[in-house]
Parts: sequence; C-alpha cells; structure tokens
Amino acid sequence: MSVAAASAPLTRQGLRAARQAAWVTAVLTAALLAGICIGETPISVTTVLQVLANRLWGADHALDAIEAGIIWSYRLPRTLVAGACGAGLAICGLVLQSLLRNALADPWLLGISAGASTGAVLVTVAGLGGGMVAMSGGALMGALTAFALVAGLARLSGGGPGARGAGQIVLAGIAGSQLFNALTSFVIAKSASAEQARGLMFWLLGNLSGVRWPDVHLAVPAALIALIVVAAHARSLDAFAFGAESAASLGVPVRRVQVVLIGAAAMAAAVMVSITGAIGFVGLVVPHAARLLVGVRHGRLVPASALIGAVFLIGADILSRVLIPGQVLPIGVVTALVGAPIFAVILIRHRGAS
Amino acid sequence: MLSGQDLTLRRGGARIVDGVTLAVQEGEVLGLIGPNGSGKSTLMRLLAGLLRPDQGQVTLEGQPLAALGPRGVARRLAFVAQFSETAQRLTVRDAVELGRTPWLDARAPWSPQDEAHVTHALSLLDMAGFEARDWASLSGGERQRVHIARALAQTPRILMLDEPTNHLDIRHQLQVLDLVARLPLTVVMALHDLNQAMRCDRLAVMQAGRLVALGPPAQVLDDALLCDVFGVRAQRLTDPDDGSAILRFQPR
Repeated sequence: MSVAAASAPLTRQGLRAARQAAWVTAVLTAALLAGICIGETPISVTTVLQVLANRLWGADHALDAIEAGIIWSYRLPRTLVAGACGAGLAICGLVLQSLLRNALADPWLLGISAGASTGAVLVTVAGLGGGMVAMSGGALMGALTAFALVAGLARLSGGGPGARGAGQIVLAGIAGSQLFNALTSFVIAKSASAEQARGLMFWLLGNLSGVRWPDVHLAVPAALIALIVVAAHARSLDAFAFGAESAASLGVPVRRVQVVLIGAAAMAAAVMVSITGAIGFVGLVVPHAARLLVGVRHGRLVPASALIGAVFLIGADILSRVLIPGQVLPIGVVTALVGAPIFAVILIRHRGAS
Repeated sequence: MLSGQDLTLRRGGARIVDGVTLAVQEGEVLGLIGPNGSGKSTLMRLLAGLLRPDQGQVTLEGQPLAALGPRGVARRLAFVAQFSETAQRLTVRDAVELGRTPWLDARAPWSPQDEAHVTHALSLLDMAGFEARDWASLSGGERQRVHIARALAQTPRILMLDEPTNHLDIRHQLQVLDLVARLPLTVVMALHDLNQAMRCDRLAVMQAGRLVALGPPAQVLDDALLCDVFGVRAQRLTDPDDGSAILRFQPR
C-alpha cells in the first residue's frame, strides 16, 4: 500500500514532465522550422523536412541543389546558433539578475558583452592561436575582466542591493561598455586587414550572417552546459531572493555558487559573443517575460528563460531578414528595438517597487 | 550546544568583537544586549557562521562550524537578520518554503513532509491566511513574521534572531516573545528593550566588542551595569498583577 501511495505522485510527476518535454519540443521545432523557412527566398516546410531527411536519415528525395544548400549550409546552422545564443544570453541575464538582485542586469548592459568583444578581437588580431576556441577563450577572458571591473566600480561607488545599487551597477556598466567598445574600435581600426577582423558593426551590434556548422558545434554545447549548470543550482538561486547573507544562512555555499554561476554565465555570453558579436537586451528582456509566465522560482524560471530566449532570438533573426527587403539588418538592431522600450518599462516599474 | 571560544573580528584596525567566549546552553533563551555598535549583530553572525572570526572558533554540538559545512550548520541553526528585503514577486508561502533549502537536493526533492513543516511554521506565526500574499504587499511586521516562519521551517535546534521585535507593533512583539519562550528550541536573540530582555533565561551584555556580563537578568542588570554600559539610572517597579519586576529608566 505504501508503495502504491509513493508511486502515484511519482507517475503524476512523470506525466507532467513528459507533457512539458513534449510541449518544449513542439515550440522549439516550430521556431526552428520558421527560422529555416522564412527569409528572402521562402522555402516550404515540406522541402525543409525533405532536406533534413536526406541529410540526417539518408533519405533520397529529389531536390533543387541550391535550395538544399541554402537550407543545410546557411539557414539551419544560422537558426540553431540563433536559438543557442538566445538561450545562452537569457540564462546569463537571469543569473546576473538573481545573483546581483538587480532587475536591470544584462550581459550587454553591464559591459560583459563588450568585454567579450574586446577579448575576441584582441585574440583574432594578435593572432594568438587562432581558430574558434582560442577566440572564445579570448572572449571569456574579456568577459570576466569586464565583469570584475564593472562589479568593482559599482561597489566602490556605493552600489549594493536596492534601488540605488541598481542605478550604480548600470552606470558602472555604461562606463565599462564604453571603455571596451572603444578598445574594440581602436584595435579594429589599427589592424588594417578588415578581412581578418570582422567589421566593427559586427562586434558592437551583433550579426548572424556568416554563421556556419562549426559555430553550431560550439554554440549549442555552450548553451546546454550553461543551462544544465544553472538549472542544477536552481534552489540556490531561489535562496538568493533575500540576499547573499540570507542564502548563506540557508546553507548555500555562497562564494562557490557565485563563482560557478558567474563563470557559467560569462562562459555562455563569451562563446555567443565570439560567434555573433554583442547582441543586446536578450538577457534583460527574456527573464522578465519568463517570470510573468512561470513565476519567480528558478526550478521553472531557468528552463523557461532558456526556451523563451531561444524562440525570441530566432524570431528576431527572422525579422532582421525580412524587415527590409533585400537587406539583412544586424540582429542587435532588432533586439534593441524590442528591448529598449521594455528596459524603460522595467525602470519605471522598479521605481514603484522601491 | 553552541559556543564561541575567544572570538575576535577586526575591521580596519578596530576590534568589532574582541575576545568573546560564550557558551549557549541547550534549551535556554539567551538575550544579547548592549548599546548600538557594541558588536551584538556581529557576534550573532560569528556564532551563526555567517562571518569568519579573525581569531577563535565556534563549535556547534561539539563540532567546529567548518566541519559541519554550510548545509550542516543550516540544518541545526536558523538565523533571522534585522533587515532582509527582496524585489522579487515572492508569495509568503514561497518565502517560507525557502526555509527547507538545506534539507533539499537532487536525491531529496520536495516532499509532503517539507510541505507539512512549512504549513506548521506559518500557523505558529499566525500567518496561515497570508500564504498567497505578495511580499511587496506585506507590512514591516508581517515581513518579520514571515522571516521567523521561514527560520522555523528550517526545523533548526537553535534559532538566532537579530532584534526580532524591531518592526513589530506591540501585540506582535508580545506574540513573538511568547512564541520564542514556548518553542522547544534554544534561542539566541539580540534585543534593545531591556524589559523584554528581562524575560530571557540569561543575558549576555556587550560593550565595545567585549562581553562584560553573562548571567540571569536579575543578576546582570544591576545599577552599576546599567549606568556603566547603557548610561542610565533605573528604578525597579513591581507589576501588581504578577509581581514581576519592571525597569523604568532615567538619564544618568
């Protein structure tokens, strides 16, 4: 009898998990298909599925080679990277918001993305090692340096939890972003070869053109690792609701959790920046949207933010391709057009809360 | 139960807590009193393991805090700070559920037992009807009671409270003090109101980082100490209802 009593809620939990997994898969698949089908050359869902079947299961559908090439070599990796990048940046923003207890925290606003850009540019231009991993490594060093600088500056200027602290860290973030963006511009301007270094607009605003399969192999694992690491710390993040001391009194090893989570967040942001440049506002907007949908408990908030981030950036990428016919906008333009007004709303609401 | 040996904490050359040795006995209510800035809150944080002493050691149930680890400490000892706020849209129940954090991990997920501890803690603090309320909608006193409920949901053996009656109206002050006296727990609390402190089993008196007196209230709160530590004169009145002593203070 006790076995039956114990297993009943377990199956119910299992059913709920299965239902959620099915739901998440459906949303992600729909977003990916939309990302592949919609564009300057519209492609039918059937064609896309046939190309995927040919590639993945060795099916033998007769297809237009150009269309197949567009789908497999351009649209699919681009959409996958957009999804991974959206998820990674959203998780990064969520971690920063929860640990800093600041509703305005975001890797782009806090200068972390700018620092990652500088790091990546320094590596590519200085030619240290070269290749994707070295560039991501440079981006990670840049991201961590920027975070340390901005957090230190915010602290020195009297930042902390609360409304004033929220303002200080955003101001420190402005200083950090400006500094690192200037460094990036300087390095790019100094290096004559524009072939070797991607353009300035890429690093400052973000861009998904030129994304290929090797980028997928880096972005998707990075997003998944960040998701798993952060989801495993969901309860610890909950415990930070009343601050670090309160978390410590609840048995959370505060220092270790901070290092691990900031590290994971910086890693995710750095990898994404090294592939797509600095895309703004994703980390700010998405966690707030997720909170509206699933509440503030991180057990649900972390996966929800990752999913919404992926869908949001895939959607933004589609918009960037179709908004102006014959021209692709940098994706950061689209995310900023959506994100800046939402930033303003959070700013106003935050005043009401404090 | 909980004891500190020769605890010292320096900050920028000053000794905030200076060589304090103190043993909390099982089941007692120990009041920590002293003027502002005498080191009460810091001593509480050292004993709770939230600050690491520059010198000395804290032991809990015979083991150094470091050996127990943060989770081990949090399962035995709950701490309620004086000001603890959040901008998150937590409900009262969410906040109290946080108290179960040290008992949960991947192998021990949320269970009906955790649920029961949370419900019990809420009812002890008279908060049963408040569960769905948003944190932002609570008054200062209600927030303080939620924090205490959260600490009780931790099912600790020692409860540490930093000025628990600070934000409360008089009815809830009495409620909290009565509850604290009733709970089958060891309690350490910092207090400002010396008449409330009279209800503790023992009092520890801090002055400029040092522990200057420790013992039963009637014995500790004599004229010399009140004058020396708090800078006041006191008259002792007797409550005609129950014969207990009441202190009335005048400037020295």
